[in-house]
Amino acid sequence: MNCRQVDKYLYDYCDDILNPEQRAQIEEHLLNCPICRRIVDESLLESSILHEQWEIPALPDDFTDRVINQIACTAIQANSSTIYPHSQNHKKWSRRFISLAAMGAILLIMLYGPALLKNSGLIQIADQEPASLKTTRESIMAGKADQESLKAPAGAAGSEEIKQETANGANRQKDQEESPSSPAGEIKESYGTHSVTISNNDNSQAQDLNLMKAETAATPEAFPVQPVNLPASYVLLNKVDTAGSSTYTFGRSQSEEQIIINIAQLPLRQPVTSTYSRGYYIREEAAPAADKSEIQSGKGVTSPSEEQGTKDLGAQPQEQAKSKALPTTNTISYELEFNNQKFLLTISAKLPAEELSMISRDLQLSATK
Amino acid sequence: MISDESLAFQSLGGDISAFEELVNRYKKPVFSIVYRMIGHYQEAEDITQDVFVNVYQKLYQFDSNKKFAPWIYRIATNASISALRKKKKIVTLDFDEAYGKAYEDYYTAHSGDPQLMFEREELKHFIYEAINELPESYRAVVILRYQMDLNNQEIAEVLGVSKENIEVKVHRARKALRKIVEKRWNERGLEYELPASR
Repeated sequence: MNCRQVDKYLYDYCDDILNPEQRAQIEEHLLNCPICRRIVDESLLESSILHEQWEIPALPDDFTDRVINQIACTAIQANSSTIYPHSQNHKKWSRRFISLAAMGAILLIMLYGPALLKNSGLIQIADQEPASLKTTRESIMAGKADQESLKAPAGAAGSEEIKQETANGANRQKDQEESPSSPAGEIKESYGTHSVTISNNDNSQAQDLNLMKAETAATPEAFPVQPVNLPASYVLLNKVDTAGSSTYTFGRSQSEEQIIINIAQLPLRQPVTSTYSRGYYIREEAAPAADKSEIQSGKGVTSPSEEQGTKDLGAQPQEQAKSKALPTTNTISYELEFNNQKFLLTISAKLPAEELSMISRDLQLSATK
Repeated sequence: MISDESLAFQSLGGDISAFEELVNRYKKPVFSIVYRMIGHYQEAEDITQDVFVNVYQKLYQFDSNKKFAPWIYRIATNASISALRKKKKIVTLDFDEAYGKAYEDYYTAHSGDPQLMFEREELKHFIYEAINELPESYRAVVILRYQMDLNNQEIAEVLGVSKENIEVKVHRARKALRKIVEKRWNERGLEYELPASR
């Protein structure tokens, strides 16, 4: 064994952890190498000092109790705040989470805040008593004098003329585009969706709503589900997607019957102004109470009065005219689950409640293609 | 006698008296590691207390197929290293009490040459100081090897490295220690010649 090898095993030799053979080889070298001998002697002294047990002061007698108490306190704190015991890590992460959540909240407010605020204003107006609604509608009408001045004479001219227009095949497309706005408008009014245009009672709100509509149009949201299993005789006439809901209008080719299906994602993005419950819930048309009486009395939409004109804004004159021969509008609201998501379905049609109920029972949801 | 590992298992099940027994068994060795690493009684006591709380909270991580001692020593060593790194300064052990006591013990036990004994004790003082100047990982290896009497394999388990790595570290730590002691010795105007070599 040479000096380099002795140096390699120096401390193991001093600590006496070498095997006898290695130990003998080192001792043989040390006999003839005074330099290595000296280094080994010094290292042996160092090892002996290192092995000497330092004076370690004793811990206090109550040390164990203090540890147990601290553990108990930590456990109580953890239980009371349902925080995992790694409090330091948790604090660190909770701080990060709070800051992230705050950033997210600010972003959300920046993106959707204006729309929500405006929308809540709309809902408030929509929730007002009919008299104020009426006033609102009147003011809209006044603001849209051109349109109303065109519509009012049409109403005044009587429903027969409108009927003829509706029956005209050339105007079918126009009918398809306009028709959803009337019955669907009632449903939408109930759920406070964007289509509550009756709240455009002043310019600022009108601008806000237009802005909101523009936003909706600019960022169209593909609604995840669509209704299926409707009777084969019904064909899709129109579909309107809004934030969090989708409204389908189905019609029969040989009939004037229409079914409006509104599917809203739950939880609703906007407050519901009418109550609904799980399961089937059938109600008669609520908003156009005057309509019902008119229908029952067979008056139709013939009055050119302001009040009538107000109703006309929600229900197009053509629809009002058509409804003469149809039963009262019935609405069914119920919840359906699809892909672990809940949706509120509102089916509205001028059909007998039993028939509407049959249709709704067969109705299913499928993913939008 | 119930094994440490069984006590750990019982503690994990909510048996606080089992953990109390573990504290009683390990408070001295754990405090020894921490005190030797840190050098301040109060600070070492606080860290030791934290070590046991930490051990209790991490019991679910303990592999009951392995020995409990290396696991708790590992937590104690890491806690000490963390504390030292946080302070970012060299802590000087208050050796006075320990040094004086050891000297008296040695003097009464060995009625040899007083000069030789004095030099030996001076060297001891240098060595203790030098240990505190070592990097934390070297310090931990030296303490576990010489004060806790763990072999290289056990140290490897405590520090979570290979046995070969520990062998290299022990060698390097001893070399570094000698270098520091030699420097101190030379600063006193003495040629580095240990009492043993005379």
